[in-house]
Amino acid sequence: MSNIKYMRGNQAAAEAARLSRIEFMAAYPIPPSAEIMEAVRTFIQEGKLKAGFLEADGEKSAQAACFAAAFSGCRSFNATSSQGLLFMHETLHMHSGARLPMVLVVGNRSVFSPHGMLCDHTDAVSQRDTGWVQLYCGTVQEVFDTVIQAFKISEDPKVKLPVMVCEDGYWLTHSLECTTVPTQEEVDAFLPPYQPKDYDYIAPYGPSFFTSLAMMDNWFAEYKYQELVAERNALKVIEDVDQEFGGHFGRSYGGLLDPYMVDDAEVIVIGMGSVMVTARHTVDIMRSAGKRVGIVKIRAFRPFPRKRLAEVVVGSAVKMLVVIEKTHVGALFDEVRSALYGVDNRPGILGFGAGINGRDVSPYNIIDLFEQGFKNIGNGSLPDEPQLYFIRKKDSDV
Amino acid sequence: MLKKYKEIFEIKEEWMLPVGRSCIGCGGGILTRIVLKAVGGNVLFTAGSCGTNTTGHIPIGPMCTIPVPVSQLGVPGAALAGMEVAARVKGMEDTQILGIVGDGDAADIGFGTISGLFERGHKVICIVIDNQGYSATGGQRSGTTELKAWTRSTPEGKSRPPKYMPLIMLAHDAPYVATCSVGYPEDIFKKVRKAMKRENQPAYIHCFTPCPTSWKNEPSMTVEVSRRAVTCGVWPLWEYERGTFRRNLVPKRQTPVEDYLSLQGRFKHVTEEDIGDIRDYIKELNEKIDRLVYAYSKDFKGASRAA
Amino acid sequence: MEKPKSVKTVRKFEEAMEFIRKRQYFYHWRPQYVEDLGEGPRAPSSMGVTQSQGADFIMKGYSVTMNKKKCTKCGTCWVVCSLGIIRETEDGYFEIDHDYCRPCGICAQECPAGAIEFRAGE
Repeated sequence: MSNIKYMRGNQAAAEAARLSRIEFMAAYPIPPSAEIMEAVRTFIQEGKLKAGFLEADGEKSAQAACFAAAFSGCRSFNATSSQGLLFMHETLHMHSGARLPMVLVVGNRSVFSPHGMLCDHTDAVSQRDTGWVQLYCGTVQEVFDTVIQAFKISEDPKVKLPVMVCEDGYWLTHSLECTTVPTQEEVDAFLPPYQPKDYDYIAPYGPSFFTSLAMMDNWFAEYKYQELVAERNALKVIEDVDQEFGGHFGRSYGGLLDPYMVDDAEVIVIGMGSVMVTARHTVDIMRSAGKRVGIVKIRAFRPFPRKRLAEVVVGSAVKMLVVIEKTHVGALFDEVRSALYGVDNRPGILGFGAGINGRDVSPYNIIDLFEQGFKNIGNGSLPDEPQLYFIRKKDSDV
Repeated sequence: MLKKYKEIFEIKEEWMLPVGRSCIGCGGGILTRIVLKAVGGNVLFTAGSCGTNTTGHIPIGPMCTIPVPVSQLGVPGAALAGMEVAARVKGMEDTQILGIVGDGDAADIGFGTISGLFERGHKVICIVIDNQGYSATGGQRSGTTELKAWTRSTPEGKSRPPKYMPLIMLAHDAPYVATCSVGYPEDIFKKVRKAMKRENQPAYIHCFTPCPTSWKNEPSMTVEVSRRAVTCGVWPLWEYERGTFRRNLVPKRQTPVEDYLSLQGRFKHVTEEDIGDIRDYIKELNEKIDRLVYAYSKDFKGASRAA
Repeated sequence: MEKPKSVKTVRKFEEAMEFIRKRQYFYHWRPQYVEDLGEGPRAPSSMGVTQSQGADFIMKGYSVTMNKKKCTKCGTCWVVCSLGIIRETEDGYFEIDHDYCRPCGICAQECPAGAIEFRAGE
């Protein structure tokens, strides 16, 4: 029987890792995700989890240790944030190219310079070329569920790619919410233990080599082809796993993306993360005032759900898309534009960077963004780049 | 004015502004203030993670009257080396290059860069604030955390002794290596003044600074804890200067280690067996230092040349 | 100390203090005393990470007062202050700048004459 606990996003991630029976964790503390490492270490010390732990001397060492554990056949787990994620960039490429499963929880935080500390998605979107699957969460319950689903997605034989579970730094990692925690038996029924095939890991028998040199024209491009096929398969696997999760536990998150009231909407806001939960409430407010609006919460940023997005947002009623993201680099804006490039009757697309370094995006701000969308319907020359939303012009601006 | 503080007192100018973001009772604050008084105004200075309490927060402004760039975690040696070469190129040869680096940065994640800095022989002073843990991220353990200490990532107590960084830098043939403690500010002042001489650079000074947030001691006891660490032998004070190795401020009588442990909440859980292990570690460490004092002294006859 | 080569970036201490006082950047967070939370939830962060994570107790309403009659002008408090807010007056005694003092009590603990009192209450 599940019970309801009052926990933060960090604790939810650690609890989910414990119930998923991880076998190895190596981590280096960095706020806001330092608590995940401490919580798992406490579970091991109290005997609630049997796993190996390594207090690494740097994020790169931590990820490299997880890579080594993964090719030795262990289910590995790691947790980091902004600067740490950038520091381990090299090992991220190594891990996905070697087609090993793993789950990395990222507490999204802004990146130097200047030295920011609050929620921002620049760290994770800057890793979009590494070949990892990226899932973005909106609530603490979703963090908990996504970590369990992530192990199943990454260990699926059609995928075998590592998964990054992104939770908003401080908005989710440090916010307390009521979370339904299932029992160990329920999770075991959904997620079987990690059973790698003989060729998936190294053991001291039989000649084999692993991620060795593929110089000259020996099969390098073919390995990358396999990786692309795996990413394509991941699109289907993410949806299937989410549906299966819904069948076991009664909660599901729409698979690749979660549309809300888009059937007859004129303006749709597209975004990722916990700001879309606020946007959902704002849609209810605006609908009661008679405006026809809707939102699409993108859950899987990599691989990007191009076909699914095109199906959802292109219709007879939609006139404008407003893409909001918590970065200044326009990652989601570019993705949405290129996903809708060849589609007929596509609506105009406006892009905003709102909520940079933890600046609050309140329902009033979202209403304002919808209004900007309405104002620009019929505007032939929309800007090519995303604009930053609400920048102070003077020191005295609130 | 006490005689030992007269030299520090002559420096009337303050370089640290009190708009600090450091925790109350921060040992690093005392260290930074004394170091800046010793080095003076003609300095280029970079600070590490807990040392960022001396830099600034936008929009308040800097907390030093000297501009301080924050060095990224993981590359302290590279930041110091770059500043030193750039100062030479720009013709500022008499400017001191100073780095106040955290222990996690110097011993763990940035160890490679510190090693490279000393191998290339840049003319810098590298001062390590050793609060024995990753205090800026919440108090997890680091390579220099003491034996049997509670930290957030070793809740049962650290099972291995610390990485003794000063002797590692001695092996890098650094001309000046010293340990100091916040309990003896006059000693810090003298050692930094010695490190400022160009023939003594690259200099490495490793300072014992308690952190009340992670060590769970009373903030007012910071200086007392550092003093007891020296008198019970956990942190011996010594300096090595171009061929001479000597101990400083040797206590007349070694105080019991329980006096030192009882002041800190992070040792609340230690048993008699743990205290025995700590005593063994103290004995080994002091023996090592005494052997080095003998090895560098005039009585040393030289290594035996037997085959 | 000889003059630094690039003077325009080095501000004198007095100018900097004037700038800070004019903009009223005091240590405005009047700390609240909470019981020893042990390993429980951390104090809310309005000041950045150093003080929020792991700060198990915060001092409220503690004060540090200097008793000039007992002061022997030894200078110990001036040396060990972690913020440097103890200044020398004209007659050689030392005074605490209460605008910026964050009562940690190190000066009271170290004073050999017991001239500084560190106690609860304003």
